[in-house]
Formats: sequence, structure tokens, C-alpha cells
Amino acid sequence: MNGMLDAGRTLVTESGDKITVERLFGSGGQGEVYRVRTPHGPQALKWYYPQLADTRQRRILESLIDRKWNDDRFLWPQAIVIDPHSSRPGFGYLMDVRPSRFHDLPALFRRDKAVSATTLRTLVTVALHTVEAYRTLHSKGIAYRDINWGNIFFDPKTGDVLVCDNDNAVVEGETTQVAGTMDFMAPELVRGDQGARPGIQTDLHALAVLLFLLLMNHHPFEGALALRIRCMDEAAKRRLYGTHPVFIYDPDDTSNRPDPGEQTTVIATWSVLPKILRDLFTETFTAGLWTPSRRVRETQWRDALSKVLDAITVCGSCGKQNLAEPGGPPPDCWHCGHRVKLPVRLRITVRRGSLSTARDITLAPQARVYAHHLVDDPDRHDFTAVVGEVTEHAQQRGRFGLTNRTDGAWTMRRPDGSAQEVPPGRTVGLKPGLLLELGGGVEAVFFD
Amino acid sequence: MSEIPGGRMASRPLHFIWLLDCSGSMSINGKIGELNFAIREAIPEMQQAARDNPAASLVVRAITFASGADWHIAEPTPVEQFTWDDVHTYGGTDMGAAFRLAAAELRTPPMPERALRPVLAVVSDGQPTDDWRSGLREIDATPWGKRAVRVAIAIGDDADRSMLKEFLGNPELEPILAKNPKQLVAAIRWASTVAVKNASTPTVEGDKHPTSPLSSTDQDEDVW
Repeated sequence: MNGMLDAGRTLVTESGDKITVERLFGSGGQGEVYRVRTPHGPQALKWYYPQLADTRQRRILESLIDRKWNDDRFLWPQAIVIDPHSSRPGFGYLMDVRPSRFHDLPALFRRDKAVSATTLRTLVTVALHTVEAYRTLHSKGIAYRDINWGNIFFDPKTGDVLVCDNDNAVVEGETTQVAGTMDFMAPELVRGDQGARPGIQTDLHALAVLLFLLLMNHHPFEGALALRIRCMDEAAKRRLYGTHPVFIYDPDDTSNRPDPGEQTTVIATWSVLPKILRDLFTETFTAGLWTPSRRVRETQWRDALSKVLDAITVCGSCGKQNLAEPGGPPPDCWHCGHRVKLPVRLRITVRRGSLSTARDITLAPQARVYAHHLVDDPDRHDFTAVVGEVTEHAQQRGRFGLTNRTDGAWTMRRPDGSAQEVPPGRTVGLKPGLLLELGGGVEAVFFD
Repeated sequence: MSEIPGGRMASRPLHFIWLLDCSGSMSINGKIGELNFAIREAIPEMQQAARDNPAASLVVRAITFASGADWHIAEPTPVEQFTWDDVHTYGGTDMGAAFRLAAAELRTPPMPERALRPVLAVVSDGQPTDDWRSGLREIDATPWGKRAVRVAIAIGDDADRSMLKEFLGNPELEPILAKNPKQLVAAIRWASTVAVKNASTPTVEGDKHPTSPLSSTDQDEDVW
């Protein structure tokens, strides 16, 4: 397989490092990606097609590189690369190689075997990490402008994400050459409204479409109206996504409901989606379609997804994970149909001055308490910082407790006032009414 | 995948049809061999382009034209199972016959009720020897043919580029000129990936500014 650059070709970075082309990884709409050797080890090189290697793209890259972004959720451009032996203009940029544990979202959408380790817990975690990654970008005034299923990669075992193709991200207000993928574009951009430009507000629409695809495995505007279209071309998409977008579950407009014979996936996935998320999708895909300021923001998604993650429970009959409405009634299992019995929950209360924040965690088998549960406004959900974990008693099958995974002892208090220490590695039985002091003024109570 | 609810994402078929020039002139300097090589080279990337678009189910067919036209691969073949048997040269350049063959398949039925835009990719090194205009009109008269994403690759300077431009049917589009084996590989790869991408996930104005890896002013010494 050969591309614009032959294997063995030597290039240089702007700082003078020598780069050797090894092989072509793949090609996209803007250029080709190669595996290259550098003085700092193997890296990936994106090399632009000649027509796109212009001064504007180069200026955008330089400003991204100057930010020296050091965040393991992004494959950020690191250095501009040029060809010193060629008279033709051309350039590319270096980034890290995507580790093999990360898979593409299309594999998930096709339900490929390669990503069959994905559970509801990792799926919601992917959504949460995606939201937080874009929140981080947006909080720094950077718009991504081409959020789509091709630039997020995920680890099916952990739910970690990696955001790629960051070379179109720009400071809000600047222009780039990417118009966006129609399926993800905000209606005002699809229509080409005067003054509409890709930016943070349109990213919020694209993000919501991506989350819907991720959780529902279906596009939010492809219902009965889409099935009436024979040829799904640009004109059809312009209508479905731009001039006449109707959310398939719009409460006031049922014209685009999914077809029960042909669109069974979304009917199945929507039916088990907790109301807290249904409400956000409905808001962003009805009012938010026409009024960009009503689009659901990353912080709203983050808080809702975090609660949904903490409310995941396990079916006692078939063992499958189930989503449940946080604080709501037990769901019927999506897999076997049995009513899921809700296990004991833990209410964690974080106090700061006179303010207090409470968070509920459903203590299903393997549920975990994380460091982010113990602060009132976590900057980022870090699922490696485990504080406690639901485990089964070594001798008594079916008896579960919360194991202390920290370095320090917890204090457990019974309703009668008696207390007992829970040293690291030890476990407290999940008994409603027991109170745990987790340190730093953080308290937790088991409840039914 | 049984740990999460819902089956695979719904998809629409994307029909891709190669229309390949197998006229006698394609045998000069091994051009036909280069074409066979280029298509084989492009298969893995075509499969990757299909994998990148879960809402599309890519199926591929091929027509050859020389003295008359024939289906080289008549069955719409899922790209994951697509393999390439060499095409061989046999006479004139009856592109019109190839257009008529394609047009017959671009009606509903045999096309399904719902699909993505089909892709028609013509590769030629010469001047059509039959009534290609009438064949092209037949394609334009079918509901799927008139909506098809069209790609044209001109092999060498003798190809009829103005005719190929008419096939493209868009004044802003030009046939891709491939003057040597390397350019042909790049052109075939571009046709089989970018066209698939345009048909399955259109971008606004994506069709008007297709990004080709070959700049039209590319002066390469390596001439056939």
C-alpha cells in the first residue's frame, strides 16, 4: 500500500528532528496518516493532501502545538513536519500512536466481536469521558468543530476515550476548512443560515448526536420520515437534519417515530434509557434545535451520566447490567424481562462550609466508590482512583460488602451509636442504617 | 454482543459499480496489469472505508467494456468478501454499452426501495467507439443513476477527458488524470474510498470540493 510518501523517506520537524517514514496507516478526507520513526520513538504523522496544506491550516496547527496540550485523552498535534528535499509545498504534524486497546466507534455500532467486552457500565463511562473531554476543550475556548463517530476511540474494557483528529480544533471564532459531517451538524449549519458558524454551540449539537448514537445505536432524526426517503443523499439529509428536523421521540410531534418493523434497535434502547437522559435528549433535540442556547451543556450531560453510572444495577436472574433511573423504581431487565431487585444503596454526603452535596451509588456487585464521589464538583471522573468496591464474602456466597480500598481506616457507626474501625482491605456488610466516615468530613450511609 | 441492549445499527446499501476500459490499447505497456494491481491495492482501503461508515453496507460490482460490455462481477458483493479476478483486454472502447448495462441495474427493482447514492466509477484510457451519449442518457433516466456519485479516472493523455467530464455531469468536477502506475494506484484508491465516504456520510459541499491526493499540476517524469 503506498501513498504520497514512500517508506524510508526522511522528513524533518521544525525543530530539526529527523523523521523516517515507515508505512501508511490509512487515509482520510484531509490527508494520510503514516507510522514514522523519530528520535523519541515511533509516532504517527498526518500528511495533508497538497491542496489542503495551506497557510491557514499551518497557522491553526502552530497555535494548537503552542498550547503544548498535555492531556492523555487527546492525541494532540505535537510538531509540524516538512519535507526538506521537496520543492513542492507540503507539511504534516506528529502525534502519538493510538494504543491498540482503543477501538473505533463504528465497531461498536456494528456490534463487532472485537468490542464485545463493552458493558452498559463501560458504555456510559465512554459517554461520560467523551463529554468531559469536550468540556475541557470548550472551557479553554476551543471549538472542535467536527465531532463525529470517526474521531473518538474507546477502550471497551474500561470506557476510556481518546479524541483524535484535533487539527481542526480552533479558538472560538476562527475559521477552518471543515464544514462538518452532515449527520452531526447543527441545523443552522446544515441550512447554511446567514451568520451561522461552527463553534462551541454547534459542537453541543454534534456532541448530543454522538451521545445518542453511542447509547441508542441510532441517529436521533432517523424515524418514519427517513424511511420515506428512497435515496439518502445530501438533499435528503439537508431536509432531515436541517430544514425539517424532527426528533424521533419529540413529545409534541409524533410524525417521525421509529418504525416498529424496521427500526427495532432504537425502540429497544430508548425503552430502557433512564428518564434523566431521555429528558436531556428531548430538550436538546426539540427546543435546542431552534435555539442554540437551549442545547444541553456538557456539565448537564456529565452530571446526569454520572448519576446514571452510579445507578447501574445487575439483574439477579440473568446477571446482565441494567440502567435504572437514579432514585427511581427498579427496572425490568432488558435481557430476560424479570423485575430487577434493587440492592442496598450508599448515600455519600460531602460538606463544604454550610453547603452539602449528596450522591447515591447503587451497590450492585462490582460497583465502586471513586475519589470523584468524595468531592462536590469533580474536575474529571477518574475511574482508576478506587476508594471502595462491592465484593462478595469469601465464605458466604451471596453476602456482599463494601471493601475499603484506601490507605486509611474508615469509621463505621451503627444506629445504636457503637462504632468500629474498617482498616484498608477490610469490608463492611451492606446493612441499611450503617454510617461510614470516609475521612475529610465525607459521610456515607447505607439505605434501602 | 449480548452485554448491551439493541442490535447493530441500521444501515442502507451502498452500491459501487466499476466501469473498466478493457480495450486493446489498455494492453499497451501493461496498463491493464497496472489497473488490476491498483484495484487489488485499493480493496483493503475500500473495506476500511466501509468499516468507518456503519450506516452503509457497501456492495461492489464491476463491468468491463471493449467490444461490447460484460459484467465482470455481476453479483453485488459485500466489500468484506470482495476479491479481484484480473480483467483482460479484448477490442474496442464500447463505453456506451457499459453505461446501458449499468443503467439496467439502476432502476427499482433491481435496486432496493431504499439505499444510499450509488457510486459509478469509470476508468478509461481512450475514446469511446460506440454511442456513449445514448448510454449515458439511459443512466441519467434512471432514478438511481441520476443521483449516483460519479468518479472518472483518465489513464494517460489519450483518454477522452471532455467525454469523462460529461459523464461526471458537474462543471466543477474534473476527471482524475493518472499518468503512471503510482498515480493510478492513488487515483483508484481515492475513487474507492472518498467516493464511498461522500455517498455514505456527505458533508455540506463535500461533493463540490472532492479532495484528491493528486494535484492537477503534478509534473512527474515517470511517463508510460
